[in-house]
Amino acid sequence: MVNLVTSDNESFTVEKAVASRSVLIKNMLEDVGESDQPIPLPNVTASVLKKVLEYCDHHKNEPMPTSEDLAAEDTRKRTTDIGEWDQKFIQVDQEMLFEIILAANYLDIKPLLDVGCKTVANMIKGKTPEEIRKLFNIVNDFTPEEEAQIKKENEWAEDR
Amino acid sequence: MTQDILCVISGVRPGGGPEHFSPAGAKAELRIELAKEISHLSTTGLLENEAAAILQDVPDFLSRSDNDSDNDFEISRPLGNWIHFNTCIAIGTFDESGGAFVARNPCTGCVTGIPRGRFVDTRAVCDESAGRFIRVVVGPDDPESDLFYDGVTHVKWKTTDCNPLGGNPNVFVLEGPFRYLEAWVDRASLPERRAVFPEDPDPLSFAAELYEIVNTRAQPRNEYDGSLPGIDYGGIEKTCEGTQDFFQPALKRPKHMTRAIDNGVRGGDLLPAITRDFGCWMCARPDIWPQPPDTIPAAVSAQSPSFESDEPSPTPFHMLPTELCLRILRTVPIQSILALASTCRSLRSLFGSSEFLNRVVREAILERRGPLRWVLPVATLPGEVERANDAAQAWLRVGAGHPGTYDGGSSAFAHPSFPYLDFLRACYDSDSMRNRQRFWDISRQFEVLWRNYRTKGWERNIISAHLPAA
Repeated sequence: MVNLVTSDNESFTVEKAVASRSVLIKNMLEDVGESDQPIPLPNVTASVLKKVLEYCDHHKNEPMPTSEDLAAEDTRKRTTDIGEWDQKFIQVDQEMLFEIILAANYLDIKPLLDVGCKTVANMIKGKTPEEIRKLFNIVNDFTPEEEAQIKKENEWAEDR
Repeated sequence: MTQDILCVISGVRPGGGPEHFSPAGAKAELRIELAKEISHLSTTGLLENEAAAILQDVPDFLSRSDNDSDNDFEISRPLGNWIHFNTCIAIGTFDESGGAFVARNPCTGCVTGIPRGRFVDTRAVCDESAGRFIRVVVGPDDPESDLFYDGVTHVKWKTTDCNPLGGNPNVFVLEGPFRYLEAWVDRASLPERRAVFPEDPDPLSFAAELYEIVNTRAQPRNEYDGSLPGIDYGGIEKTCEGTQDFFQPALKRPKHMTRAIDNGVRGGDLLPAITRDFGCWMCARPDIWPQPPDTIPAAVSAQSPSFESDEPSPTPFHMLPTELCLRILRTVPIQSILALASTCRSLRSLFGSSEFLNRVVREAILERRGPLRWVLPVATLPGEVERANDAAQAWLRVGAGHPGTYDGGSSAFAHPSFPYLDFLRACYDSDSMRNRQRFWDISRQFEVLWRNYRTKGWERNIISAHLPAA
């Protein structure tokens, strides 16, 4: 078992197979060898780590992606398809979604990072500025003149 | 009147599609309808009768009388004829008369079994009428070829029947769209076929798999025009009403006409907007890369000032480092990135800069599965690589701001100084590149069908284990 300590000082004891989905933790375990020492994760809060570990636990029996797999995955990541379980897993509030992306990047869990990035990408695709504002609670601080100027500038890329 | 059959990939008939906007007898009604819509869409309060008068003044468009059908304006093929719209690839089995080997129900005559892909052959064919080709393209050494040498292609008489009526499984595709599909469907990234076809596990050729996919969809090909249900051809397939003669059925909203009229464009200068609204670009040859202007003005190469704010409003994207933002946005179409950058000042600073957009576009063009890879040439079409590289080098010379400094080494498309955003804008403005992108979009749809085929097998089991008797 592996003991992980979050930035808000909460401890999580998890199977090595689960923790090792993170390349960062896997490398740390390989470096220090067998040890009872807790692994500090100063960039991840307990609520986010809990969610990340849920993902790792679900995928713990899948083979770790090799560099070839990652290259192949890289070729597939252009597509927007996300597995059924992953889709349900990532149905979280926006703050958590962006925290998961940051955590997956920090912990080096590429498949989770892809799920998070694809989810945000799918949220943006095909939307108007106004729809994006509503989605992400963004305040429009342009003047009407500025907005008109930007709209004109972007005409070239409009749906043709 | 002969029925037209469309290429199953492009939705265009052999030779390249319609040549007229509308039937001569429909012009008056069309003018009224267009004027009504333009007036509705206009932002300058244009009246219907004013719009109708403006349209009337466009030479060769709706100005001729209904009785003038003999001299009806023929749209010049956008950007000229393309030889790869003329030559077709026929995929199937061909008996002595060029028809397919199929099994039929002796009572009903319905096709009950078609040859599997492993038995099919491909032929380069031309001289088509209703899906039936009377000539086969052969090599210059073919003993019969000289008799029918047309100065460009060596051909000989041989019938090839690809008319889908009656369940004929033989398929034809225009050569150009076929080469694009072949290049852009990434079969290597798909699961191998052995899992779903254990009785026939060895790899099949691209053409043979295409034949099986087209013939085993749950919804068969449309027998009357050859199109494949579920594929979005961009609307060009609607122009086939028995024959594919008029662009009018592809007309959606006259938004380009309206914008041009609102901007004061009149007379013959309106024709580019008209041809765009009528979808004529869907028959443009797709291999003319745009040339750069002499210099790229600052107003084009950069977005306007970022409208800096003293108190930028934080957004979730501000939590992420640039590399992660790039990772998210490189799968997002450029218009959606621009929409995101248009939401507030702080996101405009983050994502609206030419530098950031150039990085996004560069990755989208150069990565193996990048969504803008379609702007790159396809090596299997003769001359594409040279033509594209010539254009890219011209853009690089202008975009680097130092004309003449590019030495022509390596690929100009990959050069760090390549003006990706400006080049993309020019591509979006080009009828040729628009059609190229349409072919790319269709290839994405076929790739989905291909993945389903490789993971789930045939949707409709009509394939015979053995080659049916002729």
